[in-house]
Amino acid sequence: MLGKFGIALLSLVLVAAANSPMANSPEQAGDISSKNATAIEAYRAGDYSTAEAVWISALEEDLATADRGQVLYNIGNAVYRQGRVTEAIGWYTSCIGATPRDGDAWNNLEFVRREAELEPADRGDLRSTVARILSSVDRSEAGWMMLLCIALWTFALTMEAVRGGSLWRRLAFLGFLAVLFSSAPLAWQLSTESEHPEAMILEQPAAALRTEPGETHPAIAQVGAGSRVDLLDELGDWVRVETELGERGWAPRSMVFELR
Amino acid sequence: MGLLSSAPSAQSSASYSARLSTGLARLGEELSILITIENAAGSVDRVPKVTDLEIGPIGSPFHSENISIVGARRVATSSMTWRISVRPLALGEYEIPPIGITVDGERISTKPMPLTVVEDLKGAELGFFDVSVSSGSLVEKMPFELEMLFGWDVGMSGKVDYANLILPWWGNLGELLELESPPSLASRLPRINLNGSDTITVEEIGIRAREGREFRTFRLRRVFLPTRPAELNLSQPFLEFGRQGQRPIFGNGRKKESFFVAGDPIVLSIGNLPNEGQPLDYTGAVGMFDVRADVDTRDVDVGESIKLNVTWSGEGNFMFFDPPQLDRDEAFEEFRVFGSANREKGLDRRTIEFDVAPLKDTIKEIPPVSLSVYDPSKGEFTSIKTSPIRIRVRALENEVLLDDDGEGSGVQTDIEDIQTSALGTSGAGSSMRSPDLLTLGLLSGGVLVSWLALRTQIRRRRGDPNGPLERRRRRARKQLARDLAKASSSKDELKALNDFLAARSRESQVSWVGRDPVEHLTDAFGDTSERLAKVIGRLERGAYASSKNGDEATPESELLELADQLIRSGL
Repeated sequence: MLGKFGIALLSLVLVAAANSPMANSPEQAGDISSKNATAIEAYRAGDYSTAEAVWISALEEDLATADRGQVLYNIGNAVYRQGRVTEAIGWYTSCIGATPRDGDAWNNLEFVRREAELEPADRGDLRSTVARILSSVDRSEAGWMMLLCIALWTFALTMEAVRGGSLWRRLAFLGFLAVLFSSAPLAWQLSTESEHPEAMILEQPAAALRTEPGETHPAIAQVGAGSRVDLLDELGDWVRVETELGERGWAPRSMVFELR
Repeated sequence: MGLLSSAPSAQSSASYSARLSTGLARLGEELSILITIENAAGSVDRVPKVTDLEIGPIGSPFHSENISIVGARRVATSSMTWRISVRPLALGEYEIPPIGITVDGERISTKPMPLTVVEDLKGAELGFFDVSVSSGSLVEKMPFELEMLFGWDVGMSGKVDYANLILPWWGNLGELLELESPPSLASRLPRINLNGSDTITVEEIGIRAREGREFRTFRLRRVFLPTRPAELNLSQPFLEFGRQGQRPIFGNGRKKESFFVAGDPIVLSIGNLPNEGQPLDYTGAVGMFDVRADVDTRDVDVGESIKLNVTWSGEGNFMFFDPPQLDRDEAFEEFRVFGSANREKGLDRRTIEFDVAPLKDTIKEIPPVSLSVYDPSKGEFTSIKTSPIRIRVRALENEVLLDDDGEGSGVQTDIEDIQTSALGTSGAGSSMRSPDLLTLGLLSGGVLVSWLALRTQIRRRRGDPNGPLERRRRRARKQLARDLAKASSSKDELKALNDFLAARSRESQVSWVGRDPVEHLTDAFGDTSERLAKVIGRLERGAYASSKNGDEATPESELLELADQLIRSGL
């Protein structure tokens, strides 16, 4: 019985391994690496706009999550060095979305938010702390973590069925709790996920949302810089957004940064 | 009994009476209106209101029935008596107006009852009662203390065995919120009567001299918080004291000698807290405050914490104001204020500890801490300030002085540098697919269902896997190895093998003794059963041989190998 279970568990691991990331082809890897080197060289030389452009072109490649986070972070630095402080907030926010445990990105995000006189991204209250803990793993990590917990729980349940006894019963209960807790990050990310692309308001101190695209139309709401919005539609240089409070309106594209 | 029931009976005619227990009463003394209705159903409708007389309420009547034999006739009488208490609150001549009663459905009024109230001169001579308020100027949100001092002549001590405080306004002070009483330092805390029907704990504060005489003195203190502006009339309180003898064995009444002494009535004028002139930093303090401040250390380095204790005392609402915010005070702009904490919060004082740190070595003193207070005695808002406290602030060695923005000479804060790890080595992102929540949820459900099915199946087939038989079965192979290691003869080996077979087949230990394995084991065991039979036969011969020569040793490894083969075959 145990032997069969061991085989099943091994199969699970093999399936997981089969799904693990595949390395880029050598040509592709070389191209990305060369772009990165060029951008770093430009950045060190103080040519921040070139560095920004090269890193943005690297984003078009099929990057691993960690690499993507690094590129987004570096673009944030290049943008900040060019004096576009609120846009840098957007890049660092995108970076944290990709690699949520990147300490440098958090430091820079809080620094530029302070410089832009915005409240901290992590306000330190209970809600912010819980949100930061739950989003500290990305979707993929959360999925694998939960799968691992399910495997351990399955093992404990099988042993409880075969051997019985209070020890295995307790371990099975602990396994259930582990599955429950490990599902929290995934559930949190699903609940906060929007069907529309996310964006951030850049305009200081606030951007006016208008009923229709055009400066002549009446403003129906004000959205503060740094606020997260959903992108609903676009028309020329205008985008239609929806705030966290459910207000919908049009704003100039230049006032809105689309999170990557 | 037979005589009584056979006698003709008569019902007496209906009548009523109303009288005052006494027409001459002492101030504070409780007397009664007694209304009796005989031989009829009736009720007392309502009691009249008389200024300075506390009348009522109407309680339940006392019923009595009497049967007597008069001239061979049985006469039955019944009566209902209401006792309505009356307590005079001022001296004077009174007339209690007619009281409406109903007798057998007919509404009748009693006659007016005259009452003369005189001062209890003896009581006033033997006792005293003083009432005072802690503050002359009362204002809403500022607590005040009501103190009552009372007692009787020391010479009366042996003659007084009860006391009753009569406070007509007790429990009817709607505008006042009673706070926790101040702690008592008295050694004795006797309980005395309150308004005749309740008891209350008072402080006995010993013998006090008063106008050349000594009195055994008691004190009752209460602290109230006025919740809104009002004018409250606290009518005259009384102290009743005296001796009530033992209840007699026969009869109802007990001999009671009591004295009454009155206190002065009090009028409480509670003013309102004005909005006009209220400072912007006002945090709700009301009262007449004194303030002092001290620190835990006066010689510190730049940035080092100083505990600044500020104590406000006097009369006021120390429990109800918020501490001043030093971090918004311009005088403290060269300090970092870490926070504040209450160290003492009582009725007469409040101590708050502020945690501050000087940011420059040029600072020479801790500036005054100011608190805006409404002073009811002056009727205006004032600012109470502590005295500045001189301190010495030393610069740190190798210090880089930070200005308000955290920046200083040669040091600036900046973003973290770019990340320069090589890209393209950790794999493409798109292939990193993890199972989604739906799949994982279904998987969890599947696991749960499979577990239930497996568990049910196992228990149906073999019972509880944690039961003694199953545990013995699982341990059988190890136990066999252990037993064979200890075995010194074929008999021991035979017993170990039988125990093993019994454990694996979930049977009792002796069930395999003398059993033919070939007949018992199914075809699934094939040659193994015949091999087992041979081994058992050999062991039995050795075990029961008449001489030692017949005892051929069977290798332990052969028996264990046979056991493994049996387990593999499904035993």
